[in-house]
Amino acid sequence: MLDNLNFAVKEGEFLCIVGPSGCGKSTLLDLIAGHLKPQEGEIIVDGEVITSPGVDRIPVFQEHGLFPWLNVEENIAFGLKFFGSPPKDEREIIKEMVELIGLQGFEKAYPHQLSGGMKQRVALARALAPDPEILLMDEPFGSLDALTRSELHHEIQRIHEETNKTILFVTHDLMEASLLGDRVILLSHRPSHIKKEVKIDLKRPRFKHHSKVISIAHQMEEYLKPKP
Amino acid sequence: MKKNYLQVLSVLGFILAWQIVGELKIFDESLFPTPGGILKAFVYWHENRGLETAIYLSLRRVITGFVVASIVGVSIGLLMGYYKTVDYTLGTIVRMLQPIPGITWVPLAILWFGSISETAKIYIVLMGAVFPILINTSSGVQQIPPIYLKTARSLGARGLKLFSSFVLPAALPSIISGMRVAWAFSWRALISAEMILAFEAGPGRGGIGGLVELSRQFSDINLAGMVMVILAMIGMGVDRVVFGYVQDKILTRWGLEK
Repeated sequence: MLDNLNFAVKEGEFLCIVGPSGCGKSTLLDLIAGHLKPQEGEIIVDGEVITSPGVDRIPVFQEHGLFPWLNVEENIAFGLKFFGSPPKDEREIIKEMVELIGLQGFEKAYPHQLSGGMKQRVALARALAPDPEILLMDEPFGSLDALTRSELHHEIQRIHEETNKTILFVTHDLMEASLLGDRVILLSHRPSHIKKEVKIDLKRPRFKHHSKVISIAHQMEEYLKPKP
Repeated sequence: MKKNYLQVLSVLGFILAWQIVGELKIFDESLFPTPGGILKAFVYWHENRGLETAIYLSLRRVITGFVVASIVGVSIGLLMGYYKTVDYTLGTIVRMLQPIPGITWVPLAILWFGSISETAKIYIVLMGAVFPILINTSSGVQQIPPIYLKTARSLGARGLKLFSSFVLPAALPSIISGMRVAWAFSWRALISAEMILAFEAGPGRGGIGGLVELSRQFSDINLAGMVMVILAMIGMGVDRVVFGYVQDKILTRWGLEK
């Protein structure tokens, strides 16, 4: 499905991966997350070959995947239970995370009591709590309404700024990619290969009505069009 | 509240109508139990024949068997649901034993544990109750959405902790409905076992099933009615109060309540 895909991600980089539906974007993230093993080739993080899931790479999916039997705090704390010894006070981390996503007052709420955008914020906080090196985001805002979505576009830029995490962000939305990415990798249809790499040197925070953001999105659309 | 009101009213109405039909003497008194007759049986067995002992012993047997069945059923069910290899091997044996009614184990239980032993009866309850729990647990695990599983594994859940803090709670709704079914199965198995194994000396030692057997031997229709009332009250009480409460709590928490 994926063919000769070769790219590197820098620390702290916000890398967007864009491609048509079914091109294997999600498969790529599953490989990096360690849920799948590549038939050929290797994925290397910090000099080590990936063979299984690890808390240095935590995914956030389109469906929030919050555990319905846990409240907001407990969901955020889920990943902290599995360390041999917690790096610092668990309560402190939870409080920090709740503040980061701006959900103070909802600590005891259960997922079904939250709106779609709030759920996705909690999913983000849960992924960030164990302090991973890389966030793997698989169309995380794909099922949100337009308003919530652009709200979260601001949030993720702010969170990236504050935490300086490396983010791998898969989407099929070129606008989203040009709005968020430091760099965008454009994938072709199956078998996927890299069609084009686009570096985006725009100041943050960026806004979606910004003319440069729009023109870069249009430019990328041209790259993806099949050559006549 | 209207629901509760109607429920109480229908039970009272049923008892009243039942007594009236009895008073009309349409049926022979020895063939038709009445609420009044059953009440007399309650008083008689309470005063002379160890009613409380029977209820206590049966409850002890059924609860012990049920608790063991829950522990065994949930543990094996979790493994069967999570590991395909366990499902194909152990699961195959389980599905083979599952259709055998618990009471079929009576001859073996007598030979293994002795006819008047508590263990024999508890064992029969266990065999009657373990399969619904096991099957429900394993299918509950298999129905965990893959995204939960990926998330849990990515967040570092491994080994025993993966089971205790993720697989078990994720399958809990399904486990509880399995236990609810198993509770009813436990009583069926116990009553049949006690009817067959009613050899104990002493009032009430044979348990509630022993009373059923006595009512048969003495053709005591009101004693038979009394046992039915006891079983209906214990069965429904525990089902509604314990399982109903737990299930409601889980469904509300998960946001699944209707």
